[in-house]
Amino acid sequence: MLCPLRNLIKSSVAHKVLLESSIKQPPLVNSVRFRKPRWLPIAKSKEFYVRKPTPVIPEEAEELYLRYSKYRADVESIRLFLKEQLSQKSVNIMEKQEKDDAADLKLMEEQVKEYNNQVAALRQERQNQEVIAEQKRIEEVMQKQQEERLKRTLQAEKKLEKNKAASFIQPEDLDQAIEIMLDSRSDYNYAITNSGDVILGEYPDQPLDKAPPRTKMSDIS
Amino acid sequence: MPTYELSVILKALQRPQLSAAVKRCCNNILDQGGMIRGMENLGLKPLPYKMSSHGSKHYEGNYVLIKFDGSTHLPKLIEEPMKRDSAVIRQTVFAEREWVPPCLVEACHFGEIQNPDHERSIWWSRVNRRYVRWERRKKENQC
Repeated sequence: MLCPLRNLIKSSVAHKVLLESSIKQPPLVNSVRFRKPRWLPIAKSKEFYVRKPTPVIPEEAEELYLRYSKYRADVESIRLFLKEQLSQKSVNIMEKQEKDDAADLKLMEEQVKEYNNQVAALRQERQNQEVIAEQKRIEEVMQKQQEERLKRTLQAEKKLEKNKAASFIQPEDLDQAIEIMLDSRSDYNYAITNSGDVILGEYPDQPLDKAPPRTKMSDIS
Repeated sequence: MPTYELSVILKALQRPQLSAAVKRCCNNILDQGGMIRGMENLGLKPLPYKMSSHGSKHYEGNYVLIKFDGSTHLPKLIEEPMKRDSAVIRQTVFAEREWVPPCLVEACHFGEIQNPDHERSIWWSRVNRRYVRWERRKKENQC
């Protein structure tokens, strides 16, 4: 039966690692475990085997006990001492760090304050100028609007006068106006040539001399 | 008050009925607070297509234009009584606009006004002026 550990080592990555290391030959170890199943009885040769207790010399044991206790106390005390020292050192470092940080922060704050003041002065100057420019612009716009309003008022007045001059048909004269209208006849169905001549349209039921007034384009401009 | 023009096509009626129909139209306007500027008669003409109104078909009609002043609600107000009038075939209200010579708005086809966009010399003078301004502005920016 092959050794399981050896098999394991051979088959695993560990084997490779071992091979690569200086140990070329793994140690020959026979595993005691899994040698036989649990239900098998105690071997015949070990049936009445009783393990001999390890011989202890009382003086030596006492001495060993004392020495080991002392060793442990010494090591513990040294460990505690070193620990305390280390902690003190770290505290000192931290304090220094804090101090340095505070100083740095103060310096930075001062720098930032200085920069802010500088920028604020510039901004104030710019904003003042902007306010002045805006006021000027508003004044200009207001003036323009006032002029426009005046112009429009004048135009409206002109229109109103024109309207006043227009003779509206009074309700009393309506019958007469209708009679006049039915007697008259106007025709817009005509064309104007390039030279300004009027060509009457499809239903010129009136002579040319009664046609709407001859309009030449040169009169318009 | 803006000026409007009511263009109405009336049935081919006899003279007295026609004048009564026109009078009804005018009274509609006057009742709603309008003022009539004037009227025009375009005469009896064949309609461009067969029109039917008030249950009968019409092939010719009297074209009448009525110019009136009134509030901006007036065209809407006179619409319904006109529709109900059986002598009316079609009616429309147009807003009167000031006449502007088309040359002032678009290209002049008959050459009555010099159109700067079509004149070589004027175009060049404009371009030169623009160039001079551009140069001046550049100098000012440098200073």
